[in-house]
Order: sequence, then structure tokens, then C-alpha cells
Amino acid sequence: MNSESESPLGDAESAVEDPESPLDDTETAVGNPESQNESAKASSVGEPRPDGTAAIDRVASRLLQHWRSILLTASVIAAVGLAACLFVLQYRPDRQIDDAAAQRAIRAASDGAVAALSYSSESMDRDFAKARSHLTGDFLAYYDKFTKEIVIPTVQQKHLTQTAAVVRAAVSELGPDSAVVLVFLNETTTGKDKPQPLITPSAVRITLTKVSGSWLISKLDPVA
Amino acid sequence: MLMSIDPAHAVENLQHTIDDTTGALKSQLEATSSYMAKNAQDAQVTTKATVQDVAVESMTDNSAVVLVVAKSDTTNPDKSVRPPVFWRLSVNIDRDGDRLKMSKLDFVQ
Repeated sequence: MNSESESPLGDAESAVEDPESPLDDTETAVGNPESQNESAKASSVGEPRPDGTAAIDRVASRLLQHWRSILLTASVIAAVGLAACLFVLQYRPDRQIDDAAAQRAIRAASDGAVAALSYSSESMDRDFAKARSHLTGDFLAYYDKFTKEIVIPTVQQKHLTQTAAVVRAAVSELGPDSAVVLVFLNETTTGKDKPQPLITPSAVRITLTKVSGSWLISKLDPVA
Repeated sequence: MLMSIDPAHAVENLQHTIDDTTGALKSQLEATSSYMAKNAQDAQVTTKATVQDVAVESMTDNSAVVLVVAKSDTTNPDKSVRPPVFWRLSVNIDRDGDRLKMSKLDFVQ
């Protein structure tokens, strides 16, 4: 976890780029990590970058970009095809566990992720209390420490409001007492330094544990 | 899980990909594969994709919708390596004979 990150649990590094411009940000890879994060996030939602030299780079690289993204897409399709098909074959025997159980796990992971990644400087105590009710075990202890030491000071200092929304979610593993759910989220952040909302796409792998009959989050890992 | 397209084997690499697809996605790839292969050869760029995570969104006996996170790494002709790019994908899988194949692939915004 990066203490400089503006969205502490939704690590900026896990951001998924706009597939239309997969190579946009590579030219700015060196330099101030804070501004790098900003530009990566900004371009991932298709906003123009204020940086003039980057604009020139963009024009130059645009000519090369088209075929590069096609090649990237082709290799991604190839990798994904094999993995997805193999995974479905492996997952198939688990289908005895009914769809309703899968939907309950997806629901619990989605609600918990949204609670853990949504907060505002206006209502922090309430937001974090709500988030805690979805968490358990070591992850709850980590979350308490992390919010106290890093998130709360940052949120207060920068008057941040972050709202997470689930785009898609799916089950990776499902057992009677534990489950793993992959959740695609878009996190929208505003603050006194950024009046324009910043949208960060992310993907998180959520491990659930059943405690007294309900699913609670025992682990939350950005996939990257 | 890993797959790469390198300029020296672009045609074979792409044919393997086409073999893993069916339906509309297969037609699309077949229509554009010679263009892609030529680009790979002209560009001398190697791209490598690695799947980071997979999960099933829904499933029937003959089809499934799967969410995937993939990472792509690109190596330039001068051997310099571009920073990795992460992709969120939704993939439809359909039974084609005795095999499961990919029939649709969407980038999740």
C-alpha cells in the first residue's frame, strides 16, 4: 500500500487503462509518482492531459498506437481464451453448489467492497463503522490500523470524497465456509485539490469467510 | 496462463488464437488476422499477455460468462520494455463440439 495514494484501498497501480489507448501513459513513466498517478487516472477516463509535451508525444505516438493496440488485443484474446476455457472446465464440477449461493457471495463481496472503499470527510466515522461491519479477522485489524494511520489523515487533509461502484462481479471459488469473488469497481474521487471527479477503474479479489451465517470480507487484494 | 505474439511466429500465434474461438469472435479474427500478422512483422514488437484472475459470472450447460483480469507486456524492437497495462474483460464461452471456445470478448469500462 502506498501512503501517498489518494484512494488508499483502491491502489492506483491496479487501475485498468482505457483499452482504446493502452499505451498512452507509458511515455510519462518517469518523474514524480504523484503526477504520474494523476495522469494515468485522468487518461483512463479519457480526459485530456494538461501537460503540453505529453500532448506532442501523443500525436507522435498516435500513428503507432493503432496497430499496437490491435496486437495487444490479439495476444490478450489468446491468453484469455485458454485461461477462461480451462477455468470453466475446472469450475464445472462445483456447480452442484446452487446459483443462489453464488449470488449471495457476489452480493456480500460487492456490498462490502463498496462500503470499504466509499468514504467522505463529512461522514468518516459513520462510513468506517459501516465498512467495519462487512469485515472480519486479520483484515479487519489491518483495516482499522490502515484507516487510522493513513486514510483518515489523508481524507481530512484533502477533504476527499470517494464513492465506489460495482461494475461487474463474479465467483472465482465457492465453498460452504469460504469464497473468492472478483469485483470490477469504478472509484470516483473528489477533493479540494480536484474539483473535477476522478474515476479510477479497479479490479479486486475479495476473500469471504462465513461468520455466524453471513459472508464477511477476510481479505481484499487489488489484482495487479 | 500466458500467450505471446512475436513477429517471427505471428501467423502461427494468431492461428492458435483463432482455433480457441467460435462464432462472431472467430469471424472477426479470421477477417483481420492477415492484417494483424503483417503489422506484427512490420512493427517487430513482441506482446505477451498474462491472465491475473478469472471468475465465473454465470453458467449454463453449454455456455458461460467469465470475468478476466489480464496484463499485457510489450517489448519494443530495441528490447526496451513498456510498462505493463491491465485489462478488465468479460468473455463469453460457448461449447463448440467437444470443446469450450470463446465467442465474445468485451473490455469492461
